[in-house]
Amino acid sequence: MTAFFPAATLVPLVALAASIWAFFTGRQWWPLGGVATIAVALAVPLASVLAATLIAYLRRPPSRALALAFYDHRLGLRDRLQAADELARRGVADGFAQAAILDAGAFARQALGAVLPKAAWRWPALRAERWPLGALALVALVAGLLLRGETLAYAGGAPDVASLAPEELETLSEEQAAAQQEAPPAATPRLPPAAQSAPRLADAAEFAARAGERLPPATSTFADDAEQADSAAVHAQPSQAGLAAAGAAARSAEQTRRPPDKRARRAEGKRRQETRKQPEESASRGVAGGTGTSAGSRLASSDHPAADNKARNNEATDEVEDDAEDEEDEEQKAASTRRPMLNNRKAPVDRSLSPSGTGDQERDDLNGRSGPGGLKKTRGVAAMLLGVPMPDHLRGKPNPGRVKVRREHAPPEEKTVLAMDAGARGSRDQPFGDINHMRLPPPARSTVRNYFLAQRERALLGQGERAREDAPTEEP
Amino acid sequence: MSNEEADQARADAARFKEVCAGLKAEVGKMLVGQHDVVDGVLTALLAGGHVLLEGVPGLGKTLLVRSLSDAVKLRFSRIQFTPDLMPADIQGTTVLAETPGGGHELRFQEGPLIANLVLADEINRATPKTQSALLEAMQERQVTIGRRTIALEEPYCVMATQNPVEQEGTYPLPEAQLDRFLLKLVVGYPAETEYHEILDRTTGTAAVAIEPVADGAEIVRLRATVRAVAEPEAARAYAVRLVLASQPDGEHAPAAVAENAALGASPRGVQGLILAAKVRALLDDRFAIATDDIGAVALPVLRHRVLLNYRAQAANVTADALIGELLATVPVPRTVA
Repeated sequence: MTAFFPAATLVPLVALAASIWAFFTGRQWWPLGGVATIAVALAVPLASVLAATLIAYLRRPPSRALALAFYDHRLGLRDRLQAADELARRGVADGFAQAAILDAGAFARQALGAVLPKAAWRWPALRAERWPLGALALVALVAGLLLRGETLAYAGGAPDVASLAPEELETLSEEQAAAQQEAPPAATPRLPPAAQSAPRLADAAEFAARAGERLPPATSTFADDAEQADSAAVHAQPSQAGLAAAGAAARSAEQTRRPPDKRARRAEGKRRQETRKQPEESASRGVAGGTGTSAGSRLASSDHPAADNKARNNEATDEVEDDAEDEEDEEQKAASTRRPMLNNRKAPVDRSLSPSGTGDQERDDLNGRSGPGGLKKTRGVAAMLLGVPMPDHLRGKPNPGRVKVRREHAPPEEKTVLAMDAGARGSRDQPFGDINHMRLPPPARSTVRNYFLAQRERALLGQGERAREDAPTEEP
Repeated sequence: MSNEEADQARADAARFKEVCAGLKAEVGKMLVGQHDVVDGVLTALLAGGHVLLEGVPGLGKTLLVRSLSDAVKLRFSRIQFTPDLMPADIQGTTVLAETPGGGHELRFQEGPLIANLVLADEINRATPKTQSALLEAMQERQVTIGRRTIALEEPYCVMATQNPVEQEGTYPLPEAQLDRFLLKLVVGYPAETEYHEILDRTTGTAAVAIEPVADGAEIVRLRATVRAVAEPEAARAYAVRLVLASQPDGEHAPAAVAENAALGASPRGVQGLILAAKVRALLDDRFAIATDDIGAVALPVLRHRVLLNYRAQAANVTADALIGELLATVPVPRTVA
């Protein structure tokens, strides 16, 4: 708290000096009021106490371990000092612990004799991964400045008319008119008709403002300016004080797409319809506003329902005629510009891709598209097929059908096969070729050979005996 | 504080470094380059763990292990793993043998697993059933066949080589067995200059003889020396934090690990980190491990313990990348209260 009271006297003394100065010279330079002076007088000593605390915390002496760690790090001692200090405090009598402590002694003397370089303050590292944040901040700043400049320019170029007083509006109107007269025609930007009526909207708004009507702000969009001008004219027409405004509004609306009389009549019809829907409200509005002859006449004739109905019918007839004319004009205009050519319209095509059909002629519309020239629609599997019409040239050919199985009755015939005598086969006249013999060990091979030789010898002996038996014996 | 114990510790550390240098020199007669791999194999041997060497054929994995077995007087056996290798083929089995008197008896025939230094060559070409036959031997240093349990002689070390799993005809090692390897070392291609040295040594007529540097008892003493290295709290805390951060369901896991890892390191991972760091500290003439040692051995100790999920495999995220993320995100505890 040593910093509290000196700092606490600072602001009151300065405030007192300012008061004395003002008393003698009459010039007040102390910017704060009474309450603010008290608040600042309390905040300054508190802030000074916080700052003093922070500084004291940062300047506190390092701990023993931290100091040793610092020396280890600076001198590259691999934690020798820390380890030795810890082992010495632990009191372990282990051989390696003692060796570590004794070993650290030499390094401790080295550390005591070392002059550590002052830790140089380094700039904070600019990490590469944070650079995008800087770029983002820069972009946001530039965008914000640009947007701010745009807003300022827009606000300066188009003042809010609704917020201006009638005198200011008049002055503004005259300035704009003079500017329009002085401006060369070539410098006028080519805008759509609705946009061209925007300057004239200011005139209408000016006169309507004189009539005490609420005007739309001049900062509205160009697309709404024509309707705003119409509404301004409609609101201004019935008023006695705004006759000139109605004329001005009518003149300003001459440049719009529709003739002013039709628009005025249509607006009046709308107003009448609204008035019929809410008679009491419109009556109160007519009385209070003191405007509108029709409203006043309806109020006057409200006691005669028949006459009122007749008048309503007449008005409705006029409205119907006017609306019919308007709709006719709009239809003609729309038909020439927006509506598609109805002559080219075809019936919705069949999106089936099946080439089969009852007719013989090919159908070009069987291509999976939604109409002439339309984009091909995706219809699942059909979308994967070709959209090219494929006529069936083989139409009418009968299907051969399934293979017919015909069963026939065939009675079995008895056939006798006579066995051929082995001796009738004759002798071999061609070699057999290579004969694969079993791979036998030599003793087995000789045994097999002896066996077959014995068989052969026995067969030869048998043939000799049979021949002798078959031979005709000579009769003695 | 008695200086005798400190002097003894200094002497043990000096002997450790001397033996290590001798082993490296002897192995270096046969193997060109691959210094990191040689250091890793020696680390596993002296820390009392097993090592898994991964690399394409022809990079000298088997040659390294054979050379090391020649440099230490240990009972060496080699098992060539094939798809039809059965557990009884490596553990041993009971055979019917003829006695001198003409009778017969059932006699136990030891398998190649019962040795001091076992080279399991192309271990991932055997089926998981056979691979799992190594589990008991690697962890508990014993082999159980039937009702008989055989204690394996110390030092015992399994050095396995494997081809990349993507190769045809390989079976990935079970997670339980992967966890039993202290280190997994990736053997890469030699440098251009090393190729000339390889050609000079292998295509000429010069014969290289490897002299034994240490025996089994010496290796056991060196292992005891390794375990005596002091562990400051900061290094131990750092190892624990690394292992905790490798577990995808843990609260300490960074986002990359939580998204890409299916399984993290187990307590064996912490043990491996500390033991490998102790070997590194001894080789660096220190008597206590440092946090730098933990960070240096984290990759070979943890890379086979962090299993990736399908998302990481689809995105070509490697275990090495995840461990690099761990080392980058887990703060080093510089200050210990």
